[in-house]
Amino acid sequence: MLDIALEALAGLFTPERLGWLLLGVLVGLVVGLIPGLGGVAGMSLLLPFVYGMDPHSAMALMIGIMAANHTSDTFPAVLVGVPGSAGAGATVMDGYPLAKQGQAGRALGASFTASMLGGIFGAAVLFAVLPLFRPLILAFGSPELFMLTMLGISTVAILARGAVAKGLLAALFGMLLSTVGSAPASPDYRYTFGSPYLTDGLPIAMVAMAIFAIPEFVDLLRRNKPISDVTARITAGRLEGARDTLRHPGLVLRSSGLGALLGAIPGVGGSAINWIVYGLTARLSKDRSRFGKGDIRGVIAPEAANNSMEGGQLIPALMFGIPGSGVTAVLLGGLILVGIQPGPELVSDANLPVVLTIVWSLVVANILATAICFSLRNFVAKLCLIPGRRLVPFLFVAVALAVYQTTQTWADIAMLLILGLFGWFAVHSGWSRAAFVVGFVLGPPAERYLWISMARYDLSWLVRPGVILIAVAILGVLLAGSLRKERPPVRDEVLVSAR
Amino acid sequence: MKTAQARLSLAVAALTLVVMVYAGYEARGFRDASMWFPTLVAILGTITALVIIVMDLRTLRRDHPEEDGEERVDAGTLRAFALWMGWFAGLLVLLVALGGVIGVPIWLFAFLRFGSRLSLSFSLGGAVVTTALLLLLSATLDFHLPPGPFGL
Repeated sequence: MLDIALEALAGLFTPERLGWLLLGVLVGLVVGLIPGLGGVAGMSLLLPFVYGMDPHSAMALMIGIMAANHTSDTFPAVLVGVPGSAGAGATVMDGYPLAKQGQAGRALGASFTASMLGGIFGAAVLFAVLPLFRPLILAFGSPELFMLTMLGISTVAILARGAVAKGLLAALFGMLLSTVGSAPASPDYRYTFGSPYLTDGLPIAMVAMAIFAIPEFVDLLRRNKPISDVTARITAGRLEGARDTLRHPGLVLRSSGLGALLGAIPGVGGSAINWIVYGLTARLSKDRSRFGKGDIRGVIAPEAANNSMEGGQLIPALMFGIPGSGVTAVLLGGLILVGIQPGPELVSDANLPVVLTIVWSLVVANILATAICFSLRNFVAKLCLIPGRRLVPFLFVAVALAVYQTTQTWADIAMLLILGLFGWFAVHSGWSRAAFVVGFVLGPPAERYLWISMARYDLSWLVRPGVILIAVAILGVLLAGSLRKERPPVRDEVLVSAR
Repeated sequence: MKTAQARLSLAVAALTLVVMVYAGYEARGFRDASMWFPTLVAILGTITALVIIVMDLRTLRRDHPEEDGEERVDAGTLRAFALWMGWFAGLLVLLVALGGVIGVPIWLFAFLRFGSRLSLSFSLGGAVVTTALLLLLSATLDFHLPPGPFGL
């Protein structure tokens, strides 16, 4: 297999295939920068061009988009507090406060390095587990998946930073909003008030932008100051950020490993994975007093997970034809277009070179995307120095039109404003916006998996080994978190941090 | 715990309590399989909201507003909030009434010139360049602008 891997690497380093990969990376970076577009839009845009290409070039192109998208979506998340994709919401939590403190360069440096390492780790996992992963994936049934959502929800207490009751209520409110629309278990439409718009539920991208971006926009306009409170040396710290990431090898490994593992489980979802990893990182840290106020570990962990998840998501997609996300669904379409049928036979000797081209493309695309983002960083980070009233009108147009893309009705923008209203009051009354988003993201899978578990196993699912193992992990995490001392919160930061 | 924050928190908790009670009541009309999850969330939410309301009331009774000196969410802040949210809502109105191609430049020019009080040339230039970029995105990517009644 090593011989074929080296051949695939040599095959990728031809001008034609590298050119396709670079094109994919550039498209991926652009769609990541524009909130609301995302990797699916980029992949769909280039899908028609894939037809007739040789499979290696086609995969280089598509993997380029897939890998780069989650690297550049950090720019809006860190610099203006707008998640470039739903998954970048967790990066906003500490990246944006760092930008406010004049450390945008450091946050971006750390983020890009973590993204690259995470992406390479994800590719390594994909390479290593191709022949072995089938039994592990099949071992995850709905009871285990339900317990994984519980693991995510258990992070709410830490995201609420001491205000556990408010964190819990915010998460419950998020879960309640996630039940709007058609029910998963029976033909019911819940809380739709007869509106066709609500029958499909509220889109996560719109909710994340409303909760994180709108309150920041209003406060920036009110204060009419630049995002960064520190105006000198805003773009400095690139290497410091990279060093921050390298100083936390355990964190990068743990976050990447979790990202790849959770990404390999169909249905967990990218945004849920980032929040789970962020919450666990905060909970397992000795000093967690700075989380949500500008802790560099809060940037490193979700970014590493974000990119390693792509490698993980490719495992079920390639081996079983099960897409774990919209992006992998389009990728599968691309594979079929070039004449390759996803499934267990994909790891046969005949098709292995194409799979290994995917693995290498993932590695090279992550390195290329990081290099490009590093070189753009100085230019883009200066956004933090523009006064609020000069910057926000343009950002609001971008956000409003980005949420319009989800269902293409004006109701998307109306809902953005309504939830933004809630977000602003939540910030100013000390409620955790992160807990709300975690509840919203994990509510639907929690309901779906619990319902399937009950219908299929009654209560006997509670004694499944996987369930017990994850339950022990949840208890361990809760116990480890509660035994650690919490520093008292800094009073004034409550109102300005990205809660 | 700060009193201004507690006051606002109390208002948010009271509103959430109403929402939770309504959600629980409404859930009675769903089929069994769809009912239990929102009902469970509504019950837990109602209890938690009541706990927060009690905690906030105790904080308000214990602390004096004059003692904390933190940033107050006063009438001025709320007025500013309403003003800027009004501007945001204005874009929605223009998009519905005129569509993206006409609504965005009008709103952007008006905001930059009268809301942000920037120069005429910057306001005009900003509106034109942004609209051109949006048209480019719309032509090259799967990016849609609200068509409005004129279908533009």
